[in-house]
Amino acid sequence: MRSRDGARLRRWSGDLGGAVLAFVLEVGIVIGLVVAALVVAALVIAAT
Amino acid sequence: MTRHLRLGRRAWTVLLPLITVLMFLLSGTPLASAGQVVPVSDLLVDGERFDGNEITIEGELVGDYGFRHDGYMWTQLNDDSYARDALVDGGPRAGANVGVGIRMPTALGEGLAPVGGYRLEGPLVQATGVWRYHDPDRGGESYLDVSALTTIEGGRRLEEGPDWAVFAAGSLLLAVSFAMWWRRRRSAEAA
Amino acid sequence: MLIRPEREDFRIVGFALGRIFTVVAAASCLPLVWAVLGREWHPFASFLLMIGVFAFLGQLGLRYRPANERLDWSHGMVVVALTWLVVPAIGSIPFIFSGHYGGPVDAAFDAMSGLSTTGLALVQDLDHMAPSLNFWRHLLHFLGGQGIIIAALVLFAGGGGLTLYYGEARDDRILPSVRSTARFIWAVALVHLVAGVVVLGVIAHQVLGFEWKRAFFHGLMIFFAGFDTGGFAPQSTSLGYYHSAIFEFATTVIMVAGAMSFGLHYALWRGPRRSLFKNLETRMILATVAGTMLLTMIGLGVAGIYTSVPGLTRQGFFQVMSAHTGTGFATVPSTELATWGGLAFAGIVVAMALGGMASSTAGGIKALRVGLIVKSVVAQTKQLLLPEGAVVSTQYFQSGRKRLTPELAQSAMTIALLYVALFLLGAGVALGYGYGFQEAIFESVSAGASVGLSVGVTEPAMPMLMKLTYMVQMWAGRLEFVAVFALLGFIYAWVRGK
Repeated sequence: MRSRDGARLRRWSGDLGGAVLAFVLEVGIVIGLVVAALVVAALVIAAT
Repeated sequence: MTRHLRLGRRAWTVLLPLITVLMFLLSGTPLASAGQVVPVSDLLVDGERFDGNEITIEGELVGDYGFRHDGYMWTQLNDDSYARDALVDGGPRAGANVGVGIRMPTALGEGLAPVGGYRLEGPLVQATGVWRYHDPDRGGESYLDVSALTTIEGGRRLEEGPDWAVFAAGSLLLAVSFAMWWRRRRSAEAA
Repeated sequence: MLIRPEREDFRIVGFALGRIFTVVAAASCLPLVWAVLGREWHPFASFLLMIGVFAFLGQLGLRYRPANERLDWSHGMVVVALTWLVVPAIGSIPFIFSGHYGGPVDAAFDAMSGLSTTGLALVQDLDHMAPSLNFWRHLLHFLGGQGIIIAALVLFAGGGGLTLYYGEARDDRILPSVRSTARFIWAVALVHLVAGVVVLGVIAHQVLGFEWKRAFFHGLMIFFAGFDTGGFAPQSTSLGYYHSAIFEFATTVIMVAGAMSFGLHYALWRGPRRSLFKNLETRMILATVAGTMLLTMIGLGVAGIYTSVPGLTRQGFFQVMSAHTGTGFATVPSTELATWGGLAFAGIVVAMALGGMASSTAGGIKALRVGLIVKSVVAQTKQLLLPEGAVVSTQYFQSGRKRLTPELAQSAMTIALLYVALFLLGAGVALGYGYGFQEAIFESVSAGASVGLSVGVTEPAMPMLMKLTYMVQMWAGRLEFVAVFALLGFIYAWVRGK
């Protein structure tokens, strides 16, 4: 019983860590894309 | 000897307004002036034409009053027919809402009647201000930067009672469904 | 020779549908409770009727238990196709009685748009709609995006789960059983729901200055529409209502989360995490997002639509992300979007057509298929250039190294071609009614790829045939055709079979 509870707890904490990582990645992707968009916009405005 | 052209008072009464209009036209200013009410649909179709001009729009305030920390309040003004002819009151369906965002100093927004929503007609107002089209200071947003607000009519509460026929039909169907489930369960237990 | 379906086949299909309608009846209690809490008695009555109809149909289906409940492939596909027809039809009951729609077809249009996570709308006077009805509109996105059938799989045991799962256009079997996969999908959704609503609600209160109740109302609605890449919004001016770059940023994060495949979510939660950027699908979607963003922003800049860096960045970026994830939120009115011609038009339309990742809530052709097609074309080109007899073996990485077989490449190309045909069908109908080419293509791609951005074609005064065409496009596009063809085949066999 204890080993099952322990395994379950480990899975939940792993899931929680994974969820946090997922949020960080999602935010990171958007920040990266915004930066890329800013660079492109600056170049386009300068060229036009 | 040169002869100076001397104009009488009557001539100036005619000429002065003409010169004013001519200067107006030559300045390239669009026809909208602070006193003229511009339909919101014009702003949506050709917002660039009014960019930087002081205009007036008239309609119902709907949605939310967003009092922000920068001293401004944001809301939406619709000038469709629903402000005066609410659907709940039997008013005609007239398509989608037609509205724009407006921003005003917080002081102007305080004391306004509750904003329009479900069973609530918001205040009918006239908002005067500068139309900002693709404002670079606000990341390309378009909105009316209000400097004067006049309430034409306060808002009012609307009533929408239940549809008893629909309620009865729904209740009947639920009762029949329950009876079917109960019968099935009894048969399963008996079997 | 076609074999006519027998009574037992109808019982099997009916029984599965009965379970699904029972689940939907239970889910429909949520807006009913909302109406009670808000004392919205008119919508309350119509929700009661809707629940009554779902419950009755559910009991009717469950009454005739088949000898063998196990669904085979064709049964499963028929169940999926019928679910996605009947649920919007019954789900439109509250809309019909609300007074906000021009008729039952308009109401069914919005219900189909909600469930298929498209977001095109025929609603009238949205700004005065009852909150419980607005909640139902957005809940349809959540049910459709998460999959009603997935919900049924979580709750009911029984065979045939796999066909139902694939029928809802899901490709990843993330966990050993379909049931555990379905549970995981719902877990991801619920965790994002809590986090997303809190973040959006706090921003709406602290930054936008809304009062708490309204702030969380907006947060919940925008979350449903963003995470399930639906695109309905609680107010008529869509995301433009909020006038806030921070709110748009948070919404974009939620849209990205929704457009990510659940397989990717699984890899993030439980590993292996190395697959994140090694996957063909991830690389493909990053490339197409970058490409369509470049196209769109160059187009907007050249046309002089935005002449400042902040304006071009914010508006161009958001619209491309909204289009590519298949969400359909707009920060500019449809009348303005209609003026985005040339490269900007091309960028947005291509982004909409390509869509998000497979096994996500997004629509479109999907990034994995696009990647497979590109690899296949490259391989075939290599084959042509190499000496006769040379063999080109193509592999790709998608949660492991896999071989690109001719069958796989053919399947990807077939579905992509079907999407293109769907887009052309919708455009053709609009052209027939006199709409311009650009707006006809835009709106058709938006409907078929379950996006929801509009250049103003979709409106209550639209011709009836166009409304019906877009509804068919939303239905077929969401289910990725297979289930639709299976239903048509079932009906044909019933009529003409021996």
